Amino acid sequence: MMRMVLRCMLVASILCLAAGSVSAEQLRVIGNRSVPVASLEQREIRNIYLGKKKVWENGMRVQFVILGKGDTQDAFLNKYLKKNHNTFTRYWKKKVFTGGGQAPKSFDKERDLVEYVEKTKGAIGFVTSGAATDQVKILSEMTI
Amino acid sequence: MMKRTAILFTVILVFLSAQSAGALELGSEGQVSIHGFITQGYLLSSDNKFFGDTDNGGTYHFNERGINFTSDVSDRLRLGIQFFSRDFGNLGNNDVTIDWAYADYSFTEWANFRAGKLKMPQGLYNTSRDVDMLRTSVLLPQSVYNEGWRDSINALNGFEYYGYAPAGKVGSFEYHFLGGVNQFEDDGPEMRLLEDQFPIYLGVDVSNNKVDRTYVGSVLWESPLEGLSFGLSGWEMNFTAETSSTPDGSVPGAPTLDPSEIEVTQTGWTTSLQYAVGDFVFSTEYNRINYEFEDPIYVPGGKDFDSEGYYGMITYRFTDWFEVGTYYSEYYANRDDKDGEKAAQKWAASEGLLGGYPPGQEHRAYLKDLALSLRFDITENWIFKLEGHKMRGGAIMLNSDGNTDFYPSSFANNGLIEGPSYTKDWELYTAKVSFSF
Repeated sequence: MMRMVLRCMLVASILCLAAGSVSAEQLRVIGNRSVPVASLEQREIRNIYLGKKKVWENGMRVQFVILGKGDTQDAFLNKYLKKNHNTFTRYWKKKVFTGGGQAPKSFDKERDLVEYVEKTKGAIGFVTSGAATDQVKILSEMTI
Repeated sequence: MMKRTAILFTVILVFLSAQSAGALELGSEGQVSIHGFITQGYLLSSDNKFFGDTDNGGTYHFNERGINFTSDVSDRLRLGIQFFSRDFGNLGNNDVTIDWAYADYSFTEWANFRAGKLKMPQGLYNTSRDVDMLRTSVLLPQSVYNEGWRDSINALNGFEYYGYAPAGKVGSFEYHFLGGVNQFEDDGPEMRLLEDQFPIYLGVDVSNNKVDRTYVGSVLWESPLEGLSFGLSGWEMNFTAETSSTPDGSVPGAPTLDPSEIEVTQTGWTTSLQYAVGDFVFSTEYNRINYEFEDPIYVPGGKDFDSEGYYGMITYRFTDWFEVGTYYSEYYANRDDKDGEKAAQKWAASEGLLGGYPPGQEHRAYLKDLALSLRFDITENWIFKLEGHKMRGGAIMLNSDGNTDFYPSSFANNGLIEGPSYTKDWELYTAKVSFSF
């Protein structure tokens, strides 16, 4: 009887670990195919999303967009910018009202964001690995 | 014309405020972005008139309104303009002004140029001092962000070079260098503060100011320790103005002063340290401003002195909708006379004829402020704040707001001469609502 219980616990543990590895999603920073780089470092992505890097090396304007408030945005802001929703929002309100720049366009759905990035020259955004990204460049990936 | 502009501006703002939250974008691909804000506050002081009638049941003359339009004209060129009005007691009076308007051209991360009316970066908050929703407190520490000098260090018409330079393991640097001229009103607090330098009975009027030049520099170092930044910023401004005197007749034999011209050079600098860790933000700043006055008739021999101010501030965000902040701030109008003794001796020696601080008014020399702020984010667009200040001293405020009284003087007609009058220990309370989109 004891052996049976231990065997069940072992199977349950393996199933839990397997389930855990499946749920470990990737966060992807994607770009329009016109973006003149193959990949971006975390520092470069941070500078783009803080409005410090405004044009690509070939002179094309950086069009950076975000997903609306939620887990994916939280993960992106935390991993790449070391900020949270409140500090990021306040940072951009300051830029907007002091003439420092335009706040990023925001999308509620990953599908809409990918479509925008796909169609807009110089655009970059972020989605989870669950989104279809075959028509855009993947510039950076990170485990959530 | 200005009234019509103000009405149009208000109508647009009210219309836009009625729209759903978030920026409005007109045209395809978001060609023009429109953002705006409206605030309305209430100021109440136990004593003293804090730039308005705050001690007499409080005042609702406390608001800001702004609306801006920005557009990317090309990949490298962006245009933008913000209209702004404010009412702060007796200041502002809701006159609509162009707050900033620029053409911004970007070469690289480290080389960007702007021309137009540009905000002057000074310390951590000068560019955003009118935008209530960006901070926890209602009033910024007056030791560094003196409302009396707001117009003179708000914005200039000129050019700016700015950029961001990564420095590897050392962190990164953000820098701004500006040159041009700024403008401020003849009946604004800057001119009235200048008039406060003279004995009241002389009725000195300073008007027709002309700014000759303004230079601004600002560097912010973002250290490798996440959230820790250090800033150094400074400015120099030189202007001239006409001085004239119309004695009020209370002092027989008061000198008749011919009209003249005063030249003022203001050189200020601010050091800033900020550490944002988790939901805490710690900030401290030190500010020094040197004033040089030259006027052969009104300031014979010239005058040269430094003001000094500093504060420490802590804010903490408890939840998405609730934040608390506190700061302690000290300001000295003349760092060589922090306790006001010298100015008091000047009054005593001349019975007020040469100005200075009347008996018991030594606290006019400083302002010490302990503040506590509560911020409630009702939604992402609506914010409500409550704030209380425990004040000691009477610096910064204006005599011409009604902060005067009469003191014994054998030189005066009826034995009384007018001088500054401020209650030493007092409180200031404020509440404010902000909406932004």
